[in-house]
Amino acid sequence: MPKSHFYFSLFVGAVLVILGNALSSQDSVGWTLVSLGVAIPILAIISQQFGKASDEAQILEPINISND
Amino acid sequence: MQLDIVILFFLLGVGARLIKANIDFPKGLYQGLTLFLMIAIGLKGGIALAEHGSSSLIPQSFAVIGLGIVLTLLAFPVLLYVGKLTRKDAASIAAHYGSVSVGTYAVAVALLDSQNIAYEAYFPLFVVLLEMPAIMVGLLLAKEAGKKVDTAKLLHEVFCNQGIVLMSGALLIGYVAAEQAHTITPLFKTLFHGALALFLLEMGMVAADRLKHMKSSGQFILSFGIAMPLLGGAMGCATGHMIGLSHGGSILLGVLGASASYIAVPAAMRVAIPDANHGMSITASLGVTFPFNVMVGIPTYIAFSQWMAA
Repeated sequence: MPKSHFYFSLFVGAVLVILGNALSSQDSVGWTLVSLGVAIPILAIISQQFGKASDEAQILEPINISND
Repeated sequence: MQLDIVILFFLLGVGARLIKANIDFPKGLYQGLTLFLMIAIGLKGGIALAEHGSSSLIPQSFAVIGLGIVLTLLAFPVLLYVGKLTRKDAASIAAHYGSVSVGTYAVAVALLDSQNIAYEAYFPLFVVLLEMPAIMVGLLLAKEAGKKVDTAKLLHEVFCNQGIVLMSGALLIGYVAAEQAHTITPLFKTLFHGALALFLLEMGMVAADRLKHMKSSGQFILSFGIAMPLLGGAMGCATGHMIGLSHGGSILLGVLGASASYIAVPAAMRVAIPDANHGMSITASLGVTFPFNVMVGIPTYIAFSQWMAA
């Protein structure tokens, strides 16, 4: 995942948490926004870790072949 | 939060797909319901226009068109530079987000009616006006992509797509023949909510199907599909207040600003930019933004509008 996607997800998550917090006094919509705001960065972190893992696998693969 | 009854049908559709229930919704029925909603909305607007039309509609209409253009221009650089999408894909998705979703508008109207929030009844005029400018701007933004476009075919798609023809046609019929409207209102007015519930049942299933494509479209589409409607919703509500719309009218303009097209624009973009990733556009608008707006967005825009009015 490109870094810009990761930072964008963090930014959107932060905006949703702030907005949800501001609306939390009205009804459960605020808490839904906060939940989304927490979930999006977590998904981004998970995606980035998976991305790193697959990148590493791609880098390691040719080395293994050359060792053989 | 008390969910509106029509939204519960949307959730039923999502749930049915998630548990892989075998619900065979006839394609013709879905298309029929789409046409029904467009005609019902246009007709209602035309009748209201005949009763309450005034010269203040002209500056309001220009402001609404301006909103569609600005939203497309705002979405494009985010998609291009942050999303790292190709110019064609960015322009295509930006056009989706500058245009409107009739389905989302219908849900918002049902919600406002159930909460007894008054709004300008001629609003369908703004729905029709917001359909077109985003397509035009999207095409201009994609132009550098280099491919030759069949202009005649494209213009035909922009101005003669089913949404524009049916809604503006029904609007005109309602305006011209408002006095005879009572003869057909039992079909188009009384059955509106029932038809909307069926439409949302199918949309729930389609949205759940689209969510599967999120794996390939990625994290960015999820974030963008939520952030962009919030920005559009805030801008729509602010524009509504600035041009003197009522509280309900500002909410509806917020909903229009927040919604993303999934009927008219995809058809136009397929003609204009055939090699753009249309699956990605539909996944964003139908898989992310539509459910977000229906479940969370509309109540948020109601809160936005209340906050701006205070």
